[in-house]
Amino acid sequence: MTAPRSRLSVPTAWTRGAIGVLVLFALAEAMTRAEFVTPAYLPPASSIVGETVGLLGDGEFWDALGSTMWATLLGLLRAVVIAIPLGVVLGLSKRAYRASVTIVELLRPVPSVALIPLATLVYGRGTAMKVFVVTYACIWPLLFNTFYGMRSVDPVAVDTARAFGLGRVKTAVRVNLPSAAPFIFTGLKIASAVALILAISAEIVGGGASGLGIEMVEARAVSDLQRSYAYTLISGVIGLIVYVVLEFVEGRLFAWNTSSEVES
Amino acid sequence: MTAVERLQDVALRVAALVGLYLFWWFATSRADSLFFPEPTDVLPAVWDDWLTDGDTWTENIAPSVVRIFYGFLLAAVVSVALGVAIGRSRRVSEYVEPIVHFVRSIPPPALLPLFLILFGIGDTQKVVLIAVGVFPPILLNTIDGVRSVDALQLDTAAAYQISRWDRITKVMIPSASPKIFAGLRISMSIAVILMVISELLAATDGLGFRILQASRDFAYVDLWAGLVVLGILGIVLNAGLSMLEHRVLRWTRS
Amino acid sequence: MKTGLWRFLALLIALAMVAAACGGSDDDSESSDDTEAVDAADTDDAADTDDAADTGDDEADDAADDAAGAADDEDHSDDAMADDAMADGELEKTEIKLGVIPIADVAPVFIALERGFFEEEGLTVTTEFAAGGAQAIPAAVAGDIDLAFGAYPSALRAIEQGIDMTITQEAVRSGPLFAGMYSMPDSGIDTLEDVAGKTIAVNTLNNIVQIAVEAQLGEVGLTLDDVTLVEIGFPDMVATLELGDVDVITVVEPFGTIARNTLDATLLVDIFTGPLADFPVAGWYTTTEWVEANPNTLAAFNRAFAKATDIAVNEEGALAAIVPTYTSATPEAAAALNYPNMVAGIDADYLQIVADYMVEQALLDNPMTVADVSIDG
Repeated sequence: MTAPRSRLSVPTAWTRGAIGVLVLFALAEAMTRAEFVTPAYLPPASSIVGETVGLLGDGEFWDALGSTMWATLLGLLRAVVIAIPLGVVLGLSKRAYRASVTIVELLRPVPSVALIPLATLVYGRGTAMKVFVVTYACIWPLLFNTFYGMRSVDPVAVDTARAFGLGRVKTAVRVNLPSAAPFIFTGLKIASAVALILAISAEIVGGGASGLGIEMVEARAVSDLQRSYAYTLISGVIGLIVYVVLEFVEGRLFAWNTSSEVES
Repeated sequence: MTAVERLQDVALRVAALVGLYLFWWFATSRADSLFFPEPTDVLPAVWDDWLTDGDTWTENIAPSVVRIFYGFLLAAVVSVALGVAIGRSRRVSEYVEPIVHFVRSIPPPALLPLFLILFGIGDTQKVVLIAVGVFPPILLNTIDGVRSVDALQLDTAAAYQISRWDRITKVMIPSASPKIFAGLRISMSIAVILMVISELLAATDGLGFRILQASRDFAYVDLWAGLVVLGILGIVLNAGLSMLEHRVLRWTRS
Repeated sequence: MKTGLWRFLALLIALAMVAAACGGSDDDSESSDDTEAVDAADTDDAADTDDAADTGDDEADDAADDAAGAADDEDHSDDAMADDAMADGELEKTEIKLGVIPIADVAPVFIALERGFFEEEGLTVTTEFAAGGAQAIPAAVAGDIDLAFGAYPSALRAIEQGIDMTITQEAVRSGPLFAGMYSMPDSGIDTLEDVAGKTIAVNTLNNIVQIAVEAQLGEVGLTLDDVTLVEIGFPDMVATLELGDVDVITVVEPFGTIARNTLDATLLVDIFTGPLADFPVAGWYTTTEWVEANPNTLAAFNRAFAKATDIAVNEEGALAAIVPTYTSATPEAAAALNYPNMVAGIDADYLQIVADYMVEQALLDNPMTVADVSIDG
């Protein structure tokens, strides 16, 4: 069991993390300056970082960010609405779970990316296509984590509740769900990361009118590699920020719980 | 599970699959769309054009599976080793974790052109892409698993003068194994996804490559057949990993 | 207890409907709005909504249904409008989206945009980049773009596979040095015969460039089996040649000039020479449905495009000025590019040669008469 972090150690953890990143950057700078690859194809790390920072002042970037985030959020929301209730139901009924597990195992490995051509046929290349791709991919981590969370409840607690005359639904709501909540949140963390990655991937692979991935591809098409790498870098940074924010929220929401990690 | 329960289980699963098939058939025959062919067209294609077709095995399935295998192996070995080393020290993991999360957040298709330049157009590029995409979950889960090893067990081992190496291999790793395997299983699904992505650019063979070309060729039956094969591949790989997990976990418990 | 369960389900359904309501967004097409409603209906069946693909399938199928339905509705109203419109020559649509590739070929589009030719015709035109015609066709089918620019083989193959497309206008026929196969200067590959056993990059497999490559190889006694073809996008091609990942690249302008200038690359062969001189390369196409629904809009676009093509071909420096605005070519490079023959209008019989080559190279299973799939006149 990990000891709860004291207030003092949190900022220190962040400084250490920052140091780690800086070391990585220094390494990257050294390697790119050493020119193992022609600088025309791989500019120095510092100039990529410079271009990335410059993006923040670029209106086009913010438009693209908005478009990508919108698709990400919509897709995530749809996945939440489909997967969490489903996970709850499956978690409660062993039969339902057994019936569906084969289907899930068959569908889950199909990468969302492979579905892009089909999604394009139906939705075109805009937000709707991205949302579909995101939703499909996000359902799985949410489903699994919700399910495991529901099943991880202490059977004694369930029996006690039932002994007190609480119906199945009430037991589910009052006992299973709170116990499952940390797991569900883990699923949400994973799904958020997946959602963002897939939204941008859908843009890169499927094309479209606007989005971070589109900007990346367009920069590449006019051989502005620096800008293309800047967009790649900033995608990673945004994903990192989202993760940190969710970690923070999780720490606040579930301060009482220290181990709830079941990634899926 | 008793025999009766087993039978029930199998019956339920079969019923579910049948239900899925019926649903697929019903939906596609209603839609009557070129882009969503009926299972009566797709499933025979899966058999004739994919599973029993020698060329498909040599040109599509085998190359992709080999890449997944190497990429996964590379990532697993490096990540577990690193994870054990890092997980033992909270400090070190604090230095390293943000980097791992950052790498994990980069959309893999964005890395394709960069990897093309760094590693060329061959298998190396694809294997590395798979490995890079797959290592974060394994690493993070290993770190987590190592951290949650019972400190008491470790202290007891130290008190008995058991060597550091033995402490790691005989106490820590077996204890962390369930979480490590959880990481491995997540990564297996990601590996399949990355295999498809890696074959979007500069590929000459592979499963993902064939599915991509089918979409370019507007050959939708072939495309859907490919998706079914991907699903089957996923099941097979996961089953293999599960079997391995059972073996290893049983052995570590002894 | 039973009422509790029903309430639970009711809550699920309500949640699903909320998501459905939130799901629609401004730039979604009609069909996807219908899909959202279908989503909500789907989640009613707890058993059937077990898996995303099912929902996806159902969505997709219903969306396909609805798209067909919606398009039908559009057709009717458009026909009604068209009847009136034909009397006035009024446009059925004033806003159209073009799917274009960021290469020199589409310069007339940008000339027309810059000089307001589209506006003169009452059209508001936006462009969206695609990697090639094969990618643009699904977008056109979905109604996401109105007209797609691309090489003919994509459209012909799509038609053969059952997608109802119509070629609406020509745009590009090959010109001297418009496309070529290049190798590195010190690679030992100096003539076309030397490529036996080597790796050749093309931007899209089974498309116009490959047709030309195969034809040229045939001229020196080689077949596609003697080489390895790799699909790499144009922007990445020059890099892979320099880094030695491929032995030969097949590029169109401006990448040919870029390869020559920055790498001093050796031109092995101008692929559109000999029997392929002045070869039809790319043009405009879209779904037959769209053509039938928007005849006046199409005519307006074609007129503006023809006007811009005229400028591109005849006005000195027009191309050199416009190409740097949407590609990576510098003004100096743009002035020195070998542009293809840009044409307007359509000569379906002339295009037949593409289909014939495709049949010969087994890219089409059956012979096809291009005139049947092009607009009249």
